[in-house]
Amino acid sequence: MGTSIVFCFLGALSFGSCACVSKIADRQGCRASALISCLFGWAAVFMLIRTLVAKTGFALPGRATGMAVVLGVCAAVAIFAFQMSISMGKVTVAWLVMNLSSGVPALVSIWLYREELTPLKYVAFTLALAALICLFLGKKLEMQAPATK
Amino acid sequence: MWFLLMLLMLLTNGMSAFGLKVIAAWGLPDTSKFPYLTVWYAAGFACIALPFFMRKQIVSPRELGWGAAMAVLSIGGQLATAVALQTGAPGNVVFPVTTGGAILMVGVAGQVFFGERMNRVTTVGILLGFLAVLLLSIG
Repeated sequence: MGTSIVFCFLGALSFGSCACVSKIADRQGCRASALISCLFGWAAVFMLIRTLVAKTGFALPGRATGMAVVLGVCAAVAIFAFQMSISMGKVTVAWLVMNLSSGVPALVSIWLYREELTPLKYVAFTLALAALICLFLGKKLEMQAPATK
Repeated sequence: MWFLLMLLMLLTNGMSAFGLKVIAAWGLPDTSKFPYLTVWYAAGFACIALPFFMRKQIVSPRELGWGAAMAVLSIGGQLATAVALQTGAPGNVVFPVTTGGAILMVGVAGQVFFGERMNRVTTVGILLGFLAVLLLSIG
C-alpha cells in the first residue's frame, strides 16, 4: 500500500505540473494550436512506441477505431479550449472545470448503462452544479470589477 | 468567450475519456487500449495540427519543448495512476488522491507563482468543485 500511495502522489504531481506548464507556456507567448499539436503529436508517438513494445498488434475493431477518432477530436478540442481559456482567466478555475467534466461520462453511464444514481453521486452532481454556478458568477463579478482582479 | 470555452471543455473533455469504459463494456481485451489510445492521440493531433499547418504556420522550438513536457507529464500521470492501481491501491483511494492532489497543486501554484487572486464567489465555487470532484472520483 505504501508504494501505491507514492504512485498516487506522483500521478497528482504529474497532472498538476502539466496544468502549470500550460500556464507557463502561455505566459511565454506559446500559441495554443502549436502547443496542443505538439502535445498530441508527442503523445501519439509515445503511445505508438508503447503499442509496438507491447507486441499486441494493432488489431482494433472498426467501431472502436471510429470511437477513438471521434473522442480523440473531443479531447483535442477540450485541451485547446483549456489552453485558450487560461490566457483570459485563471488556471485554477479552468483546471477545476476540466476535472468537473468527469461528471459528464458518469451522467451518460447512468442514462446509457442504467447505472444506479447513488446518494453519493447525487450529492456530487449537486455540488458540481453549485460549483459551476459560483465559478460563472465569480467570473462575471471579476469582469465587472477588473481593478480587483 | 470564456464562458463558451468553459462549456466546451466541460462537454468535450468529459466525453473524451468515455471510450475506455465503452471498450471494457464491449469485452475487448485490456491490451486494446494501446492501439486505441494511439488512434485517439493521432486523431486529436490531426484535428488541431491540420488547420495550423494549412495556414503555413511553423512550430517554434519553445512550443515544441513545452508541448513535449506536457505530453510527458500527461502520460506520466496516467502511468503513475495505472501503477498505483496495479500495486493494490483501491480506485476509491487512487482517483481522489490523483485528481484532488492535482487540483490542490494547481490552486497553490496559481496563488503563489501566477499571482491569481480570487473573489469570494469564485473561492466558494472552487471549494464546492473540489468536493464534487472528490465525490465523483470515489463514486
